[in-house]
Amino acid sequence: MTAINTKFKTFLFKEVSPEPLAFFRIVFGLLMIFSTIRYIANGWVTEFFIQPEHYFKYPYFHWVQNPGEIGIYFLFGTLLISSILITFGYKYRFATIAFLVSFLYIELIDITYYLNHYYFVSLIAFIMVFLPAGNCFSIDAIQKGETESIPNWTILIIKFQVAVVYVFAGIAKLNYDWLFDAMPLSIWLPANSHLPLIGGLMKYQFTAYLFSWFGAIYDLFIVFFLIYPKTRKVAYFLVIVFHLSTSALFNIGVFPYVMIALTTIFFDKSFQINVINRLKKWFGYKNNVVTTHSYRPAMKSVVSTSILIFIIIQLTIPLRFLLYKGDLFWEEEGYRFSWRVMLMEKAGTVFFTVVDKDTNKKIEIVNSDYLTPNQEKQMSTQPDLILQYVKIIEEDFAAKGITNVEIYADSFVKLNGDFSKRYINDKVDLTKKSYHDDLDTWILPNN
Amino acid sequence: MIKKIILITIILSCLLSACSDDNSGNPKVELDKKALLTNYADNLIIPAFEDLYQKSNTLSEKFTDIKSEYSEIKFNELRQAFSLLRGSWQFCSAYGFGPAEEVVLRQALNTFPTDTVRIKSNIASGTYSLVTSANFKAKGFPALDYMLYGGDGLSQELAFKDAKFMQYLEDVINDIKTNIDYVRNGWQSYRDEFVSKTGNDAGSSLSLFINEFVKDYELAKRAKVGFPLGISLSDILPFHTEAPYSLSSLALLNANLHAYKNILLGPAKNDITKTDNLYEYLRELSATRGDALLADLLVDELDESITLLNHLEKPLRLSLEIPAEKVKVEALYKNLQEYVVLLKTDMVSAMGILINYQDNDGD
Repeated sequence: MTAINTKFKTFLFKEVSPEPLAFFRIVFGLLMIFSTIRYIANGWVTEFFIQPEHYFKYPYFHWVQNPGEIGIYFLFGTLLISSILITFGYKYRFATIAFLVSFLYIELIDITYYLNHYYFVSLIAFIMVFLPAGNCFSIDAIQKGETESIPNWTILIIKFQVAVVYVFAGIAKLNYDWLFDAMPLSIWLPANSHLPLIGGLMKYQFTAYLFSWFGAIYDLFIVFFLIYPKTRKVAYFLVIVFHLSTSALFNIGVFPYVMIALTTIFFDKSFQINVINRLKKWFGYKNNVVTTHSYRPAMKSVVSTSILIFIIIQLTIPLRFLLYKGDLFWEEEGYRFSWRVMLMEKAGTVFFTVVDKDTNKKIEIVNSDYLTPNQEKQMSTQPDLILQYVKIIEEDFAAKGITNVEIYADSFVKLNGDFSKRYINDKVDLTKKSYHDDLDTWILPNN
Repeated sequence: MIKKIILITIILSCLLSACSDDNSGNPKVELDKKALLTNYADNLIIPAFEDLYQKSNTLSEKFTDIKSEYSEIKFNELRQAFSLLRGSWQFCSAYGFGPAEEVVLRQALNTFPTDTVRIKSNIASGTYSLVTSANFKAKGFPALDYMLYGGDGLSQELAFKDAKFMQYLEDVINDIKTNIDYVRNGWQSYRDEFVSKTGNDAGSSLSLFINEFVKDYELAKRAKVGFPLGISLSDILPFHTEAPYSLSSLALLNANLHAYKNILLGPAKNDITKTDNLYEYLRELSATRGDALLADLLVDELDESITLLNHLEKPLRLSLEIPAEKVKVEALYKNLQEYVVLLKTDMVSAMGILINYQDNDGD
């Protein structure tokens, strides 16, 4: 055991070239500058964080409030400035912390906009806070000295995080609908008949099967082909092809490019050393005094233990759905934070009726009075958001002096190729219901 | 290694697609979004706005006639012209994108219930600007409905001799015409843009078209039947119907439902070698409930609503106050409501279309 432990530590703390990490820092910083500007330019700050009257909260983070118009622009400003600082490696530690905090805060305001890729960016940002990525080819390095080497774990942890995304995304695709019904690609691909060259193929069922199987195999194995030097070039070519096709086929914004850019972490270090050296020449960058560092043995234990804990958490969270007995796609318990990317076509319509128990009057709710189209769309198919919405309605009626109410839902959901089915038991008063505890008393089974 | 994997993938997929039951199998007719958009633009949408434009011209002419000298014949002609224009609007309301979006045509022409207090005070003061959103409730078809059919005890001839009343009437008619002219002319240049945006993102034409269709349907269901029925107040609101003074709400809703059916079935003239209408497009997507195709269900359920509507024996405003008739209105509303699910969930999801204009980063 101690032998393994020693070997493990030697492996983690082996000194390696700092350039790959500096390269990663710059790529990440540039991507975040670009996507922050894009987010603001698309008007999403106003649409998502200023216009809505109500916000759907994350579990355990109900206390996160929308900071108001000035506050939200301050957060986006912080995001932009810290991305620039990260790129140039100026006050690196401060910049990464500022980035992480503002990014998380924005994410936690409204669960409507939860995306696996935002979660991925949060995790990378979290990891980067602890990495010595600002000590090479950076303003910090000019001021405090260039680092000569970095410990191996700082690169490995990023590779691990990317691997987690792909492999779990691959495992998630190993389900009957995806593999044997080619769902949801059978629905999504024919909508792309307008594309040049491949557009004509999109209507064929064969194409959907091909894409489904290729996608599953790609996600499961691409990381291993990226790690193995002999297949690396072909694998990276596939990374580009895969993500550019998803970008052309689906509305997934910047994320294909994030994955294309960040998987460069798997390249042989000679690539990044070469690029960084050229950049140094280009900018007339002069290496400042070279510094070395070493870990105290106690510190090594702290680091390796932290890494182990992080790895265990990363492997556990996506699997937590196993604790729930319900149908994962239908009830979505444990669906988020599990790298289930583009995995199902789910849509719903829900009408709510409030019954005023004092007068027995029935009032039908107009969802657009409370929610934006995006919010309504997400709420219609996700049980936890439905209950949050019921609370929003209940509180609104209480504010109007109507305190004794029951709320019923007339709700239909369509999953993949099925026809829409009734989703919520329409005889159940939802104000008395909770999410995990008694889900099966108000969500109807999918059959 | 990679090559082998790709090869195996291809072979596996061939086998799988061959042995899977082919319920969403290979389309027989070419699926062509450009042809579909062209067909709808040239043979349904532009002609609908052209008809609207012609009828708004007629209304203006009839008003000029009666302005010079009042006669009962002229008055009936004015009403007739208004009624035809309004019927024509039912075939345009779903196209709230492009030029119509720029002038918020639906709100500008058809915000109801109309605000009679505001109309009266506008007439009395003579100082108002109809383009402000505050006056959306005091202009358009619902305002004309009140001014040409309302009366409030005031006899029509007397009203038509009142200069202030006539001025307001003229301004309302001109405002209607200005908006209609803008959209009708706007389509001449917008047409090419509409036909060329063949993608499936939030800004693509098919997405705009379908989203507005669904939105207009939901609005019609809610505003034309739901609110008058008291769904959000629990008390009936007869004067919240679309045309409470002329008592023509049912005829208008009937036309509206037929307009939706036209959208689904597509224009009559189309290229038989191409899929250029929604009905065929949906047939090819082959979504089914039991044995029924979604495409057929969408048409049949609309017909069912039209049948339920025809069961009503009195005008909508009056039906609401008669228990036996109100039950029929409730049945109609229930059917209209159920249809939202077919349209918004089953149809949109089967087509792989985003159900809102708001784009986002996707997943």
